[in-house]
This record gives sequence, structure tokens and C-alpha cells, in this order.
Amino acid sequence: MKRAILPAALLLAVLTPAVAAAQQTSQPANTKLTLSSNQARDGKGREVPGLLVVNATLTTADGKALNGRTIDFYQRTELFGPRNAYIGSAVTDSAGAAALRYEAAQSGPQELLARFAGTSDLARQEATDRVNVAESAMPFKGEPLPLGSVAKGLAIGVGLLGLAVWVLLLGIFIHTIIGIRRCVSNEA
Amino acid sequence: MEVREAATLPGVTEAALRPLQPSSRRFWLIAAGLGLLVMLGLVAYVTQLTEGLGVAGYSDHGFWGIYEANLVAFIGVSYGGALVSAILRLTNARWRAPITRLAEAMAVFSLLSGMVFAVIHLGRPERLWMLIARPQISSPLVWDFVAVMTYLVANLMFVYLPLIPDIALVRDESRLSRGWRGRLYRFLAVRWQGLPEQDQLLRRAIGTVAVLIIPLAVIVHSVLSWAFAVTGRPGWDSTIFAPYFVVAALYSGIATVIVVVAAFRKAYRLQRFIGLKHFRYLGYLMLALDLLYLYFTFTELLTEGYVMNEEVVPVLEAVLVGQYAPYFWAFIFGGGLIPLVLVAVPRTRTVPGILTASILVVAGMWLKRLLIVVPTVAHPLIAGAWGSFQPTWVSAAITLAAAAAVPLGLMLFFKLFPVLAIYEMEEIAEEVQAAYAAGPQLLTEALSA
Repeated sequence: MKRAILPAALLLAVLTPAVAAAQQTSQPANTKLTLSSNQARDGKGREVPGLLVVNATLTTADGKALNGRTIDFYQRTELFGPRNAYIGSAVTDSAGAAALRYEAAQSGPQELLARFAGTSDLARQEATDRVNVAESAMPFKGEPLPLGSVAKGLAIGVGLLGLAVWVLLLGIFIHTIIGIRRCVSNEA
Repeated sequence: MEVREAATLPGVTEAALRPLQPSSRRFWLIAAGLGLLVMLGLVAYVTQLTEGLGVAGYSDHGFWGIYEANLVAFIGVSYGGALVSAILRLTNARWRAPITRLAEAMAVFSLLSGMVFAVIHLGRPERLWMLIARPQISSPLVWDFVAVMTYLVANLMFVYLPLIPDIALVRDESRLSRGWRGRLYRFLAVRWQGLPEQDQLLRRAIGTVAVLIIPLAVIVHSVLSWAFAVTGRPGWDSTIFAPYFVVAALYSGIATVIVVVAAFRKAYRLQRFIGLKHFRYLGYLMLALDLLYLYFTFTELLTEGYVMNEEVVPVLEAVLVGQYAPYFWAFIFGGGLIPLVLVAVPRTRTVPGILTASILVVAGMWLKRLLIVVPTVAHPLIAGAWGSFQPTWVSAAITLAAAAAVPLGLMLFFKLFPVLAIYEMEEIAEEVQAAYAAGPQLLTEALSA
């Protein structure tokens, strides 16, 4: 019996710190992610409509920058129910910063989301930011569409034709109904 | 019921007013069944509104599906009803008179059912307002809205104007025009007394609306086709899409007119006024359009298949030999070739034969609309997995509800208004009788019309 207790005590003494260490490594370290966005500016310092620079900074809980980590960026949409639409990824630099240039297709308030997917030793983290896009990006701005004036003329022409049909239809209807009623009055 | 019958066509008034009499238990059972389907559709729509379009089988990989197919199918059916009536009026085809009322009313109810899908297929229906508040005039959807609304107004006029003399007749039947019904008939009859001046005004108005409704119907279906064709997606980007849609609408529309006419003929014992001749003439029209539609389908597939543009190949493959092939060939045989044989062969050119052909055409053409929408949407424009549209109980219930709403609407409509165009039928009968009395010359003219 004494012979059995000794090895068991030894095994316990060896395994206890190892299990404790394993338990410690299974819990990844906390991280901190911040997100901000601002209007992009051209070389002369003028705002570029619709172009945003989205900045995310990833640090450990005690503020130490995390380098070489991938941050995914999303836009919150309501297409087919609330969901996150992926807009791009960037890798953090030595200051823990990852930046993405994002061309907004829609104007108005938008919610952006940055996500660090996490690793075995670093915890997953998300951050959101609200931004108001004053003017959406217009890729064709300044470049008139071919046959643009013809298309506009056609649209106006078709619109006028539609209006004429409505006037004609309602005119016939009112004229007929009033006419039928009036015939009786005249007869009387 | 005793009613005042015209000497020229005895029995027509009684027959036309049969649905206005107290209805049988069978009528109310059918109406209740159809009403239940409509209610189930409403429940499904509320579910869709609260849960989102996902519950109807829609996703970002299948953003158009059964609702868009329904929209095209129902509006197409309406087109057929209106056009049959308009063309037959303008060509003064005398045999038209007993079926025009049914065709015109069917056009209105199927149009209303089709229009509902323009709202149902939106995940955020309240945004429909933006179509009016901030219209994008380069979008076919805006013009679609304008065209369909104009067509609806024209259709309502096309039903109402020929009804005025018949409403006046019901107004003058004291047993049928008590209480709110009497007030309704008096209001809608607009003091009609059958004076020659009134008749002249009404004829002119009906003639003008009949002329207008033909281009309007063509425009509606053309604009509807452009909502697909101008997107540049494989399978939709076709120059013949507008006439292809117009012919499809006429084809399925005439088939539906035959089904509706057959149902009301049987239910209200109208065999004396609607005979085999009417079914045969409508069947011939359907046959011609069947050939035309098959020709369009062949042309479309031949040009796409011969050129074999890289992006078109997967869609064509999926439709002809792949995932959607069973549906496509079911349409070709069930909706095209079998109806063709049923109407072309004299032995099967009977009322049941033509009715069977028409039912096959209605089902086949609905399937074809689904085949136009789904494979193209499911095919990804950039690399990635194919999407799909899987109907759920929500989309199936809404579709059934819309389909049930058309016969239910017609049943209730004809509880209030004569099912046959009495005034028109009497007028034609008088013309023919006068021609007989006047001698062979006028008779030849009358019979040739």
C-alpha cells in the first residue's frame, strides 16, 4: 500500500502545475479594439465625397500594440434582414493600427464594424462606429453617359405621352358620364 | 325569376341575371374555400412582414423568385382578357358578345392580383412611397408603375362602360334593386334610359377605350420585360424580350379566358349562349399564339446557344439539361406541344379538349415565368456558388391566395352584375334579325361580320 501511495503522490506533484499551466494557456489574453472613421482628403486637403478612411487599433488589455494582426471591416446593412456586409481587411502595423479606404455607395448614417477574429492566445474583439456620409461616391461624376441627352429627351417624351393618355382616358370617361346624365335632363 | 326579356333574344336576361339570385350552398362552399385560401395568404404575408423576406425563400443568392414570376403571370393573364375583348370589339366579331363581360372582368381581377405582388416582393413595402417621392426616371420600374396604373384605369373603364345599360336593367328590376344594391345600381347606371344619344355616346367611348387599351397592354408588358432585359444578366439580356413577353401574356391570357368562360358556363348553365363555337374560336387564337410562343422560345435559345457567350452557357445548361431541365421540358410538352395537338386535332377540339389544353397552358406558362426568373438570378455573376430559390409555405400560401382571389373576385362581382353583356347581345341579335328581314344582301353583310 505504501509502495502505491508514493508514486501517486509524485505523479500528483508533477501533474498539478502542468494542468494549471494548461488551464492558463486555454484562456486567451484580453484584447482591446477601437474604431474611428473620417472623411478622406485629397492632396490639397479637400474632402473626397464618399471616400472614408476607417481606422482600427488593436492592443492588449494593458495597451500594448499588437502588430501583424488582420482586422476585417463590415458595414451593417438591412438587406434581407440585419447583417454585416464585408467591405475589406487590413493588417495592423507596429502601432496596432489598421486602416481601410472605404468608398460609401450610399449617403446618410451608416454603422461600421471592425472585427479581430482572435487567435489561440488573443481574444476575439469587435468595435463599431457610426458615421454620417454626406455624399456617396459617384464613380461616373463628371463623365456624362453616352446618349444622355437622348435618354433624358426620351424619358420626358414618354412621360408626356403617359400624361396625355391619362388626360384622354379621364376626359372620355367624364365626358361620357356627364353626357349620358345630361341626355335625360334634355329629354325631360 | 320573371324578368323583362327582349323579343330578339329571349332568355338572355334571365340567364345573365342568374348569379344575382340567391346562391346555392355549393356556391358559398366554393366561395368560403377560396376565402380561406385568401386569409391564409394574408397570414403568410404578415409572417413575411414581421420575419423578413427570408421566410419566403429569398436570399442574397436568390433575390427574385416566385413573386416576380407571379407578377408577370397575373398581369399577363389580364392582358389576354382585355385584348381578346378589345380586338373582337374593334373587328366587330359578333360571336364575342357572350364572352366579353367575363374576359373584361377577369382582366381586372387578375391585374389586381398581379399588382399586389409588386408590393409583396418588397422586403420593405413602406419604401414603395419612394417610387413616387423620389422617382428615378431611368429605371424601368418607375415606368412599370406608371404603365400598370394607366392600364388599370383603362381596364376599369373597359369593364364599367359596357356595363352601364345592363346595370340600368338591374336597377329597373325591383326585386333585385332593394336597399344598398338599389342605391349602388342607381349611382352606377348614371340615369341610363337607352336613348339614342346615350347609346351613341357610350359606343364612341367604348370604341376609344378599346383602341387605347391595345397599345397600353403592349406597353405594360414591354416595360415589364425591360425590368429584366436591361439588367444585362445572362438569360434576360435579350432584344426580343418585349415581344416575347407580349406574346406570352396573350397566350396565357386567352387560355385563362377559356378556363373562366368554361367555369361560368357550367356553373350558371349558359350553354345556350356560349357554345362550342366560342371555345373553338378562342382555341384557334390560342393555337396561333402557341406556335408563335414556341417559335420565340426556339429563336431565343438558338441565338443564345449558337453564340455561347461565356456567361450564358451555365444558365442555358441548367435550363436545358441541368437542374431546371425537368421544369423546362414540362413546359415545352405540357404548356406548348400537348395543347397544340389537343386544339389542332379535330377529334379533341371539343369543349373538354380545349379546356384541358387551356389548363395546361395556364400551368405551363406559370412554370415558364418561374424559369425566366429563377435560373438567371441563381447564377452568380462573379465566381461563387450557385444560389437557389426554394419556395416555402409563406410564398406558396401567398401565391395560392392570389390565384384564389381571382375566381373569388369574379364570383362576388357577378353576384352584383350580369354575367352576360345583355345590351350588346340584344343589339347584335336585332342587327341580325333586321338583316334577315331586309333580304339577302344585308343578310350576307351581317353574316360576314
